[in-house]
Amino acid sequence: MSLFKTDKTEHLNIIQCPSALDAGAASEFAKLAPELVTLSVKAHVLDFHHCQALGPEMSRHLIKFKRDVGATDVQIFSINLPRALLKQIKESGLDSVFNPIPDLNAVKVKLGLAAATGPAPSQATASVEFIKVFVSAVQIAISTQASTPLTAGKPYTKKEPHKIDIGIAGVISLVSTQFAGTISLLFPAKVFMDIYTNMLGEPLESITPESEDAAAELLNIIFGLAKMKLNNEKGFTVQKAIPTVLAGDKLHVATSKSGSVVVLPFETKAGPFFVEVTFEQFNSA
Amino acid sequence: MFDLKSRILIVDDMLTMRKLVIKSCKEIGFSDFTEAADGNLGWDKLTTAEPAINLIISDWNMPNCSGLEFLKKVRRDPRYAKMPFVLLTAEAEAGQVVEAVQAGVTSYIVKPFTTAALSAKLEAASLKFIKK
Repeated sequence: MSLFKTDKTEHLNIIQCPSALDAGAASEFAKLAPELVTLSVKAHVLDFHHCQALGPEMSRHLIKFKRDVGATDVQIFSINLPRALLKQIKESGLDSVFNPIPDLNAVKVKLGLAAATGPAPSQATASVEFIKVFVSAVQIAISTQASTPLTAGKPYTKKEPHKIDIGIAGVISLVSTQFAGTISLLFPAKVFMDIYTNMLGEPLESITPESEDAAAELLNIIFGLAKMKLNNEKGFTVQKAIPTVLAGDKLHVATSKSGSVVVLPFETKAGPFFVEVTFEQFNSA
Repeated sequence: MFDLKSRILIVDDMLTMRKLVIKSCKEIGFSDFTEAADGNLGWDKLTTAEPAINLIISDWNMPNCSGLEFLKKVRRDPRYAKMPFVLLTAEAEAGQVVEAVQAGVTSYIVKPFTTAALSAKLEAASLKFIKK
């Protein structure tokens, strides 16, 4: 009996993964994959509900499987990923292979096979809700954890790069049943050094790897606050994500051309910093 | 409140958060700290520290061994069944709180936190600890 149980419906092939995707499971998947590639479906859905471990051999076979099914325009999604596996996938940069998404309903919504659940807010309403939540999260995180007073400016749609040089930036993905996007936290070096000093009581002369950790932590806190509010109070299903931090001169964070970028400007006594939000809502009824 | 001479083990994969917790604990009056970057390293510190650890403050989300896994490991060992254990997390969802309570957490702090909030949580944790 196969370690992988498959259940093919009209549009989807659901693959139940075993508890451990180790070398043995990878070998079995490699034998199964050629048959799966020939199935006429819109997507293969890997269900990780019972899975606790993912080995490198399985990742390699999935990369090959992704390449093979990609040639036929069939998509791959990974659902019910335990937190630790989701973190492992993101940290190894394999998001695009596994394509994590919360659950089967989210897959159906994304493929237009089902209506969005939850509040299903309109794009405009959702965007406004979103922006309010993130403005509040930034204010709470920076004022509480970094002891830095700040004021929020009026959000605007980004038309051109920031006129102030960005010295450190953190980016985190937003993955939910209802939408996908990114949150970027952009600091001019001088402003970030001031916030860092306020936060830890240690003067910072330049951006260092240690201070990049601080930017990641701030972004974690902002994301955690926003996620809690969006999920508990607004009915969204935002998933856990890991921030990436970049440091350098005149940084520019490139974002998807398909959606607009909303800039949330904030002002501190050391100068301004920015949060950029990109947001793309999935199909809804 | 805990004896201010208590030795605190701070477990977090983010250096910044460890520094923030130490900064706040110093403001409260504590002065003896030891650190670890995940639950496995935390366990090593806990079982080998000399002088012994009196209180653990651990992040929830960490690679290798999460705060919850670390908590369960600590509680499984009779030597540490009553060790005060405070979990720190960026998100407090109902399911998480229930899971942490079932695993025997002493108290729970949501980021961001102020020194006053941390002090209040430690105060509450110490009361539970004394009751035990």
